[in-house]
Amino acid sequence: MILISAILLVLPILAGLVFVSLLWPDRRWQSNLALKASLAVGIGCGIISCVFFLWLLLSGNAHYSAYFAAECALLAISAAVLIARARKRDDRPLWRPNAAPSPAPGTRLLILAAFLLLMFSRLAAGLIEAVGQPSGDADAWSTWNLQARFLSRGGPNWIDLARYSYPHHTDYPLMLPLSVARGWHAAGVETAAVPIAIGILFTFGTVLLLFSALSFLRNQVRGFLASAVLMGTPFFILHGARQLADVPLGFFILAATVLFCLQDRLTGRSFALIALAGAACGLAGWTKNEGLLFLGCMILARWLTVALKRGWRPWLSEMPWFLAGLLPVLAIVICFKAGFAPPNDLHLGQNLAGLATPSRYWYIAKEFAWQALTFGHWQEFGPVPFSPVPLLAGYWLCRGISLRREEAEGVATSFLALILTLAGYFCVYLLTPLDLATHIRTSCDRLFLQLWPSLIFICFMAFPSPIAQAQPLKSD
Amino acid sequence: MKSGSPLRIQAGFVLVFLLVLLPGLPQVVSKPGEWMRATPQDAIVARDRRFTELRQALPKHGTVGYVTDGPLDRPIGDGRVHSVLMIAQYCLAPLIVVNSTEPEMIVGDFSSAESGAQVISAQHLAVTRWFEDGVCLLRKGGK
Repeated sequence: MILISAILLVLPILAGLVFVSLLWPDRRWQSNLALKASLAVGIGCGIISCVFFLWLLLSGNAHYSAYFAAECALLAISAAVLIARARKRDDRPLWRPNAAPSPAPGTRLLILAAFLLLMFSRLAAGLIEAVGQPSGDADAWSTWNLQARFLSRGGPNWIDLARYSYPHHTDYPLMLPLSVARGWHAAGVETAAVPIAIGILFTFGTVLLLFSALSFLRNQVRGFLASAVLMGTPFFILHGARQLADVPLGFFILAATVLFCLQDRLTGRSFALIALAGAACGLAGWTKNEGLLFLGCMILARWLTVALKRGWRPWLSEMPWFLAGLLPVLAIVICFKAGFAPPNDLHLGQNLAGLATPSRYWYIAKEFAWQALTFGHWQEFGPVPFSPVPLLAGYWLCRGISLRREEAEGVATSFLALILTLAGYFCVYLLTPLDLATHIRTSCDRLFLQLWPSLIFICFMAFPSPIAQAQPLKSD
Repeated sequence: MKSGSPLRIQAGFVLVFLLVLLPGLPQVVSKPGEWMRATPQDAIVARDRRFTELRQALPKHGTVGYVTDGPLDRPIGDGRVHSVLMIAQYCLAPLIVVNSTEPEMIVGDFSSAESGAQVISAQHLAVTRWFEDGVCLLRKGGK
């Protein structure tokens, strides 16, 4: 029984791995394994939450044995297709060669050891935090875990989750609550270990994704440095351990960013990675409302960088692939929002007068600047107030950026999407019906957290290497 | 780094490694010791435990009222301010908990049975059953 529960609990990751591998350009199962596995953590959880939602609608939240049997059967069929696909060898070069200098094999091993040591030390810190506060942060228990309880305990009345009386975000999408509720059914018991495990998985899935993506697209030194900056951000580890949805949302934003950059490295005209990016954007919207804003910004940013630069045709040729990944997830989000969720509280009470109040612009800009200077709560863990954001900005001002032409599109798309999302957050604060100071104080740092992994990724993609300047190393 | 690469690169690499590793170490080293000495007390877990018996006496779904003897937003076990109504909603889900004495069944959530008795009398409610630690099930119609 314990073994069955364990299998069911890891099934979303296996499903994610099969799904990502099916769309991966390189058919060999061992290629880019760390990168595929890290993407699989979030994409698997997201996809399985969508399947579980469909099951709720169809079965009325019952017959879990049949549901888990169906999940296993689907996974087995997909794995069989994957194995058949892997047998068809294709030896054409798929990726453009890496321009960044690569360290020697011995150094790579050292970097990997340093990365693992840091990861396990931060994992220990995260687990200590999580076990000390098993209910998680107030937002975790009062939003995500509460919704998970409605889903898990509610039977056919699960939809009561959208009508409890306390004025809260009852319209928030269900990726996280569904994952937790599914985990409780799989484990056979309603235990805090499930939301804790999901929080930790997304936290370190993000770290691994950042490391493996930069190691592949640049080199392991950059992968290590970028993941060290992320792991060293106390705010990131704490919020992952406290089960907040901002970390999973940050994962999907990073996944979309990485996938657009990977697409630029492909030699052929395969758009499967764009389809995966579409799915990641959809899952961002299925995780939090801010993800829907990011989705719109990503589409606009891609249009601005591709259609305006290279014309409509390249944009139109990749957009159907993006929509193919996005639409199935978006259909589920729309189904929930239109059929079950109440109107959003911020949207209902929009303060249009805020647009015409200059002092609000000034106040929000000031708070954003302060947040950028102090982001990460690093001062809680050291004697000196510290933030890596001014350091990164300073490096950029002193050294500029260094990108090959074919790489520029993905990085520009991602950077523009982040800037547009930030502008969107600015507008939400302008229009908020809540007290502006309180709203910013209780949410601004978490909004920055959602974008932080992607910002680190973009910086370490675009910045010129100090190693290359000091002494060119051998290239891959 | 590769042999022959500049010393400053190696120094920078080690510095970043230490900057990330060292600040987190006290947290990892000291906190498990704290656990050994005292069971971690999560205020929400404690409140959840307090409602366990009441939950079994309530129906599986529907709406229940809620009454308490202080402000809804107040510090609880961990010293932080929480909404006690929200906590009750979390503990009693999938029931809908409303801040009203109109529903047929009403949850009483008091700091003690004595202070609860005053509120019950003032609101003309009747006790169906007392549970431990100031929790009770009420109905309308008390004198």
